[in-house]
Amino acid sequence: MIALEYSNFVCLALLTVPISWMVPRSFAFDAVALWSAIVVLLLSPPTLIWLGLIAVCMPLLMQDSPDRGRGFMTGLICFFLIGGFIAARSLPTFAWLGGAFFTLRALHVTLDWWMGTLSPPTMRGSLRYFFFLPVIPAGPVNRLPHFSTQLRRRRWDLPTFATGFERFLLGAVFFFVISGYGMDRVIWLAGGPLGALPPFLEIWTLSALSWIDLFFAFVGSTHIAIGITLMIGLALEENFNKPWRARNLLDFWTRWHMTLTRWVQDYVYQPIFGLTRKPVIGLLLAMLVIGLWHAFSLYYVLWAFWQSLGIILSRLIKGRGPSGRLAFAVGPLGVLAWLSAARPVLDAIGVSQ
Amino acid sequence: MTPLERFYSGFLPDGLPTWLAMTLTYALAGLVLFYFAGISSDQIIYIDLQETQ
Repeated sequence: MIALEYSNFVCLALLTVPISWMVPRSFAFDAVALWSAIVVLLLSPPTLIWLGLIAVCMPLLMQDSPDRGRGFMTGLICFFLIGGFIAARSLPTFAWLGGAFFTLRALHVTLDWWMGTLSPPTMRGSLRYFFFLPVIPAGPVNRLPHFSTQLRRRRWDLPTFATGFERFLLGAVFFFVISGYGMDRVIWLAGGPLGALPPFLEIWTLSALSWIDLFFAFVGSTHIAIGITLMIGLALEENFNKPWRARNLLDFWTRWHMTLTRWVQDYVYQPIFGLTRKPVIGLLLAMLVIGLWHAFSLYYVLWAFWQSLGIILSRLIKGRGPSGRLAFAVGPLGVLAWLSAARPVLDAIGVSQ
Repeated sequence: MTPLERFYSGFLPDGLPTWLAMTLTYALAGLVLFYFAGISSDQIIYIDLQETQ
């Protein structure tokens, strides 16, 4: 197996660009899927088996399913998808590459098919969608209808290619230079002086620095993924919309990891709200799904409640806070303070994992 | 027009070529990456494999 460093993945993912343009147009994305499968096999063989099962079985099960059995089939597929995800998280030997992302993609296809808003994917379409290397390890959680439309509309366009190259470079600088080198050293250097602070403030400050580090790592990896896909000629869904401009926590969660929050909004919040007519219950369950999506731990369960509390408070004080330029400055700092306060608060009650 | 081209076309004084500024920016980014990417190339991103590591 190849070492699992992100730099290895980036080099292998970049090869999808020449493959997509050099192979004849009709087979370009079959070739990209084949290359993606080879890379996944090299990086994580269990991922190839599970992702291959998903990509092959879902179209077969959906196309052969009668309309009356659609609900049962949806339940069965969801059971295996969620069960497999839980099993992979619980059994390290079955650790997956990007399982958190492709499980959400597979659930999206299944649930949209059940609701009748999506036709069953063809085998070829499914393989092309699930084995698309640039988005496998770190998203975005792109959706099948948009992906299929992009494949149909694809054509060579130099400015789009150059834009993709620029985004790729920017993402690489964000990820490898600012996050991987700069922020690591900032956090390491800050460790000494921060040791003089009370433990609560020390953990809070380190947590805030970690959020800034996460911003550059995650935005960087998204720029890399979207940059490569633009060089291929596809424009996938954006994942971030200037999160540093968020005026409050609710605003932040509509700007941060947008493909995940839209997924949770469509498949968790709206159904729960439709059933109960209680937005707070929908919000709590939506944030719980986001928390558990990150890791199965008590820390992330309580983290979800902390985020929900922040969103409820930001709704309650909406319109009562500072306005104009002051809000422009205070809003993002307040959001960072709340996000990073989760760790010291939970640490204070003895939950750190 | 790329984002960088748009940025330089509104920022550079008349007479200074945009293509030169863009080429220098790409070269600088390449150099920075060449130096730093080796140091930080062991960064791990995969959520589902991070705990295993």
